[in-house]
Formats: sequence, structure tokens, C-alpha cells
Amino acid sequence: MRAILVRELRLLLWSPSGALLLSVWTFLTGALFLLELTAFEQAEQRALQLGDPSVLALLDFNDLLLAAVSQHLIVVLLFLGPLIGARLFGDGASREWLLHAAPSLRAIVMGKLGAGVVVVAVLVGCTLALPLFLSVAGQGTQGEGVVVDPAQTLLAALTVTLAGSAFVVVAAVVAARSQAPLAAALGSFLLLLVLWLLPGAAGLLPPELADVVVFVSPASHVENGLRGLLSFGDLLWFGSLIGAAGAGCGVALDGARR
Amino acid sequence: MSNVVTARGLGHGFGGEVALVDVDLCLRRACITGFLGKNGAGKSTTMRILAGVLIPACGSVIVDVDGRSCRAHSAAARKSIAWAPEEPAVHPGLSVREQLRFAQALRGEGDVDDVIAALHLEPVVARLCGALSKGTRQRVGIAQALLTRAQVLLLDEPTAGLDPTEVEALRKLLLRRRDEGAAILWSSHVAAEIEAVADDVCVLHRGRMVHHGERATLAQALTALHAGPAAKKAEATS
Repeated sequence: MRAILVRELRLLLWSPSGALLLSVWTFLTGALFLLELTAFEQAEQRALQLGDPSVLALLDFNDLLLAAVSQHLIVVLLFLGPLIGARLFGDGASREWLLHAAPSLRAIVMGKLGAGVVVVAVLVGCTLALPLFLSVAGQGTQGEGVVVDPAQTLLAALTVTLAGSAFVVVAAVVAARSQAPLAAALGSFLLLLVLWLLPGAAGLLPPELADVVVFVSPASHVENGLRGLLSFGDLLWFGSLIGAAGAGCGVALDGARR
Repeated sequence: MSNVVTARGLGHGFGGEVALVDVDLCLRRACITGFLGKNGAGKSTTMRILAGVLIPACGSVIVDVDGRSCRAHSAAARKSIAWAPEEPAVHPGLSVREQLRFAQALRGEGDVDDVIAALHLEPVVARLCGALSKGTRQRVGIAQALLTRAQVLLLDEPTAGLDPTEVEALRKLLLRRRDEGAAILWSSHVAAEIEAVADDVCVLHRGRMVHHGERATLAQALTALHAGPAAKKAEATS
């Protein structure tokens, strides 16, 4: 498993496509962070002009800015996750040779999916530099230092990592069943987009069906984490999804033998 | 000499098209078996079944692993078999050395430097596999198979893209592995190539095994094979 994990990480991160992925990610997350920060500062300025301390107190940096940026990161991962997942199982010749040379299906699946999860964690880890830099060098509108809540920040990062990992593993299942990586990436993106937007359609459905639809959507399981609340139900949901995707990849690879 | 791989009654198809029909095949220790057949005869499908990456629709493949009988797709059998597919299983984004190190780590054995030297890959070890010529990629694919001390080597069209010097070097290397006790299945659609290297010969035609015997019987098998369609055509026109 370790050999496959290391190889996939090498190909995903230490390669021209890896450099492109990191560049796109860094640029997008930096730009989104800057946009949200500017909007937050403008809101603070307006609250100061009103001269009402209660309005200013409502503008919590951690609650507003971190949650909004994390939400944006999840949307970016909705696009990148399918590409990473499809890349994991995209090479047909290597995949067949792995079936021959790897000690077990489990080693292939865990190595590849593990690499996908590590890549998402690395991407999200890079973005932690932004709040860290702000807490060290930033200044509030009244000259005070910016207080970044480390627990809330890390919990938001964990939530984004879990959501991104879920996107990658779902795409990996689709790619493991497919011979065309690009079609697999597109198909899994559409599937994930529908799943993400499902809660919006819940109001149109009967209540019992609406509950199921809301539960199935990953969007329903990121809200607590982004607000800094640890929910074991959500952790279990993401853990189950990743486990089920692992089993799905195993079944797809075994099916390729027949 | 005992059989290390015994395939009985192999049959397989793809999307309703029959690829193999009732194929029997035995590989002996310390023996090179030439596997002859035209393109599309079913050689690669047979190889993939023996390598454990394809489970046949019917029939069975038993591999003798240290006296134990194992199915071809079992982990023990796959560990004792090394397969070099026709399309080399190398990733274009990895260097030659990285690719071989990966194969070594996966199989848990082998000496990368030895195999690089044996296949004269030193000048290209740092180059990406995607930037190599077809013949060099082929040699890297073969190097992956020769990396381990597997008791069975399955080489699917190993000389495709190689120049005569490289073919000769590969032949010597494989003869040495044979003398060390390996059972080697060498597929090709060129009869002269098989005749030069094989101890045993089997001929596959349209998914059926039409001949399996010692090298001396190859000419007779080929005559029968070529006469077969001509005779059938003559019969049909009469």
C-alpha cells in the first residue's frame, strides 16, 4: 500500500500537473480570501460609521470570514476533486498491471484513495497560512490585533478536507468503473454538483423524502464544522462515505478482472 | 520436468465475441515455451488470464507455488509470476528509475541497479518513461518483470520495437533465467523468433490451441496451420 501511496503522491504533487494544481489552488484561495477580507473590512468600516458597538460586536472575524472562505474552498474542491479522483484511476495499462503486481485489491484502493485524501489535506493545509499570516501581521480597524480562533480554524480546515476527500473518492469510484478519465471526471462532477445542490430542492419534496435528500447531500454535513462545531454525526457520515467509496473501488477493480 | 503452470479448458469472450475456446496450456520449469499466433489469435488474453488479471469465463489455471496449488489470481500465484504486457505498464510521468523502484517496492524484492545494467538502461534512468522511444519503454516493461526472481515469466510480444542487438541481449538474458529454473512463456507472431529461443512451442489460432509440442514439431504445426484455411477454402469452393 505504501508504495502505491508514495507513487500517487509523487504523480499528483511533484509533477507538472501537480504544480499546476497547486498554482491554481493557491491563486484561487488567495484571491477568495482577499475578497472576503476586503468585504469584512468594509462591513467593519460601515459599522464604525454607524457608531453602534452592538453592530460591531456582531462582526466576528472567525464566524464570518473563516466560514465564508471555507465555503468557497469547498466549492473550488467540487471542481478539482473530480479531476484528482479521475487521475487516480485514469491510467488503464498501469491499473491492469497493478492488479497483477500489487499484493491485494485493498492495497491498491487504500494506496490510491489515501493519496487523494493526503493531497486534499495538503491543499487545505496550504490555505492555513492565510489566517496564520493575518493573526501575526494583521490589524483590526481600530488598530487592535486580529484574533484568529485556532480551534475554529482547524475545525473548518478539517471540514473542508473531509468534504474535498469525499469529492475525490466519489470521483475515484466513477473513474475505477470507466475507461475514459475525462468522461469520468465530468460525470462525477455532475453527480457531485447534483448532490451538493439537493438541499435546495428539498422544499419541493414531501417531508419524509426531503429529510432523506438533505441527509444524502454533503452540503448538509459541512455547516456545523464551518461554524466551529464538532459533530460526530457529520464525521461518521463522511467516514462512511469514504469507506463505501473504498469498497466501491474494490468492487469496480475486481469487476475489471471478469 | 514438472509443470509450474497448468491451464485447462480456458474459455473467454468479450461482448459476445469469442476470444478463447477450450485452451489447454502447461508451462514447465526451466523451459521457454514459445507462444505463436497471429494478431488477434488470443495470445494476450491467455497471458492476462495466466497473469491473474482476467478470470476466464470457463476453465482453470493452477500455479504450483512451493508445492501448493494456487489459482492464478491468488496473491501467492501472482507473486510467483512476473508479467510484461504487450503495452508496457509504465507511467509516462515517472522516470525509469522511479518506475523500477516502484515495481521493486510493490513486489518487495529485486535489485533495480542489476536489472538496469542487464537491460542496458543506464543512459535513460533519469528520463521520464513518457519521453522514451517504444523500444526503450518496452525494455523498461521487461525490466519490471525481470526485477523479481519469479519462477514464471510471461512476456507478451517482448521484442516489439527492439532492434536486433537488443533482441539478442534479451534472448541471452532469458536463456540464463531459464537455466536458473524459470518457466518462460514468450509470445510472438513471428515463427522464426520463437524457433530461435523456445524449447516448447504452442500455436494459437482464432482462440483455439492448434498445436502444443516440442520445438522440433514447429514446422509441422505451421504447415498444418497454413494448410488448414487453404484446405477449408478449397473444400468450400468445390
